[in-house]
Amino acid sequence: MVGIHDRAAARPRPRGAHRPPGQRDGRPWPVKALTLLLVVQGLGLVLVGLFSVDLTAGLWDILTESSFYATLPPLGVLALAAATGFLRLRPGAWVVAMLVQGLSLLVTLLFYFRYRPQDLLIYGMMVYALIMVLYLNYAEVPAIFRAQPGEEQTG
Amino acid sequence: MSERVQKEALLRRFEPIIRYTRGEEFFPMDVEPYLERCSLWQQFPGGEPRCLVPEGELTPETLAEPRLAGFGAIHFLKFITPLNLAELAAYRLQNLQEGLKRRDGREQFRAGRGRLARVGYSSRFVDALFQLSLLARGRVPGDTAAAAALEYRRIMADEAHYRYYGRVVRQNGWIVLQYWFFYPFNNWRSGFFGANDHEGDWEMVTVYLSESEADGSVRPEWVAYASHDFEGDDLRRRWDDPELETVGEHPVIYAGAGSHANYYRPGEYLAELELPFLAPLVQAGDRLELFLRRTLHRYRAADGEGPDEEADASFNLFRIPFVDYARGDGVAIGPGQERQWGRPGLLSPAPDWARYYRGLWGLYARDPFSGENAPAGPRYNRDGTVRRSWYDPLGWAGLDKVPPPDEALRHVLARRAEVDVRRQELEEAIEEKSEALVELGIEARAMRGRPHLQRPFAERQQQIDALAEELDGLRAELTENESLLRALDLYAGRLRAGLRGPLRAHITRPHRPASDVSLRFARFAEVWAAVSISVGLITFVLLFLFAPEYLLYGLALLVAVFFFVEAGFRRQLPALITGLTVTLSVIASLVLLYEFFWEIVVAAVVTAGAYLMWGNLRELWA
Repeated sequence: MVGIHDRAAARPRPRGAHRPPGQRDGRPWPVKALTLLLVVQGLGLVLVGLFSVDLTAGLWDILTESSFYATLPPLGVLALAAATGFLRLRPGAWVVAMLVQGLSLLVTLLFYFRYRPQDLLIYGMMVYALIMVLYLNYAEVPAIFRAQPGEEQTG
Repeated sequence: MSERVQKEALLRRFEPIIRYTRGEEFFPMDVEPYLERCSLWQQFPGGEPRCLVPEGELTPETLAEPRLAGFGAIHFLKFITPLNLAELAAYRLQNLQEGLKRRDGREQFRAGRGRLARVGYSSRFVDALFQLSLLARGRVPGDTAAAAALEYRRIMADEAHYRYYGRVVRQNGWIVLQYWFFYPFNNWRSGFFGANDHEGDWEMVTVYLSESEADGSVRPEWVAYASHDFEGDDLRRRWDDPELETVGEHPVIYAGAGSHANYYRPGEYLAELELPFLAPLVQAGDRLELFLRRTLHRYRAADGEGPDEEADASFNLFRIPFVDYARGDGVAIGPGQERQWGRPGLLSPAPDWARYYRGLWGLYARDPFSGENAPAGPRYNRDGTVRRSWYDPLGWAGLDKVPPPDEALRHVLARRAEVDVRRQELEEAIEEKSEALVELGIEARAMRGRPHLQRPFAERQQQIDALAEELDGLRAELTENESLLRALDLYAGRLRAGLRGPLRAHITRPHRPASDVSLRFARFAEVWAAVSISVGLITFVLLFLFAPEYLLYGLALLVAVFFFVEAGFRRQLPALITGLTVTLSVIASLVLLYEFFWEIVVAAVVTAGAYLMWGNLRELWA
């Protein structure tokens, strides 16, 4: 758990800045945990998407008939990008991680309300995204990624 | 020196300087030449207007003549006969020529950042409704402003003049100077993208003077400028407030372009218009805002201090924002300026035209929102009742609770004496009742354990409870009085030292110019603000006509795109993404609760049980 004094050290570094030689990995524990969770989420989404879509079908068929699964690989890639950002303590990584959760929830909710599926994957994705949203909004995590004045801003 | 001359001298000593925005076409004038060009009309509800006095025959005297009319009748003046196409074209050509002659653009108005770029979609949508409502509402015809400008130029060509009307009254030890300005036309809408146009416009500022008991000299203490959306304490500023600009003993007014509303500082002010049919939504919005700010402690960042912060945060989505341009970069009228005031007209005692004519000073446009109807005279509201600013100029600016500085100490000491007398009364009462309570207590204790005294014991007990409660109240009042005495002593000390307390503690809503919003790609953002609602409405119609089966999804996508584009311009994408994700999380939680209610209950009970067991075992092993 990162303490108050650790926070300054754990602030995102501007692009191109390097850790002084000899300094140990200064990433707080929630950042490490979230990086891992994002990697798992990203890989999971990519794999589920790829295995569930008939890749031999045409692009139009994929987009119309397996629209839900077709959205998963891009989401997974975005999650992996967010994980990379977390790993490098980029200021925009937190927003990208939230965007992944938002899109993930949007896709599952749209699918749920349209088809009322009994597929546990849908609920599993919802639960996973909910846990991620809670963890991402755990007080210390946004504080770590809050951009300092003059630093790069997202959006 | 006669009283009239004294009043005029006093008015002239503190007469204001008015600074206008470039492009202002109408300035304060004498009512007489205006009336010469007006006709007087009477309108009954549901009937056609009837001309009572034709143009050319109206004078201040004929205006004041008593006229009987049934309930609901409205008297109004008609200043302008709308131009025909040729006259309008000639006016536009003349303006164009004058504009070309003045290549420095000194008299040209440029709006700058559009008002719609400063506000969100709700306000833009309500604004679109408002613009459409102008088609159905009665309003001043489009070419009236041009005709009024031509007529005003003719009046000024006959005799160029700038005139105000002044009133000097005494109230509660104050000397009140009211300066009334009559403008022949308000062209805020047609000239400066504002809310309304109307014939005739009365504006007012007040200077409050204190009089020295020693030598009778007068000193300005407060000023109050009549302005949109403000009332009571928020209207006035202390003479030493840095927000008030003065030149010698003359306060400076920055007049809104076309609207002629008065402001203390130059700038562009967002004036909010509330449509009557949206009033419930406005109130609901205000309550929600208040709840979020006070209950949830959600404050917006502001650069002010104290109450200013809260006040600035209160912007209601269902009010329509209009920009009132009070830049002060145009003509200036007043002492030491390029244009001077003529001899003021006196309104004390009120001349007959001000006292007896209760009608409107311009066209009655039958606008139910009243924005396009002309106002009544300086003394009256549109409904014929007397204005508060006229019969209670102190209360109008919230000054009725403030004594003049020279009298303040006397008031404080008198109040202190009253509070001290009450303190002595309270001390005596407390001593007396404390004794009585002790005696009752002794009696009750003596009766305890004597069965035959059960009834009187119960009575004593009731008396003890009542007396103890009364004593508690008296002691609380005494404590409060002692605190009040201390506060009065300190306040008297500050007054003796010549200190007057905080300058702006009375202001709950400051008149603050709208800050320039920070927009990315500002030019594109402004174009987007101007067209977004129209694009949305057209897309809705196209979807409805050509793809009704995708109407819902299409609209959702449209709204999402609009919000993301807007948030991008305003650098609010992270906040938007967070807000949407949290909302989706709440919906997903409800879905999960609905689908797995019992599973979740069981899991919660098992978790709670395990947690309790863990806690108890830790305590056992500790």
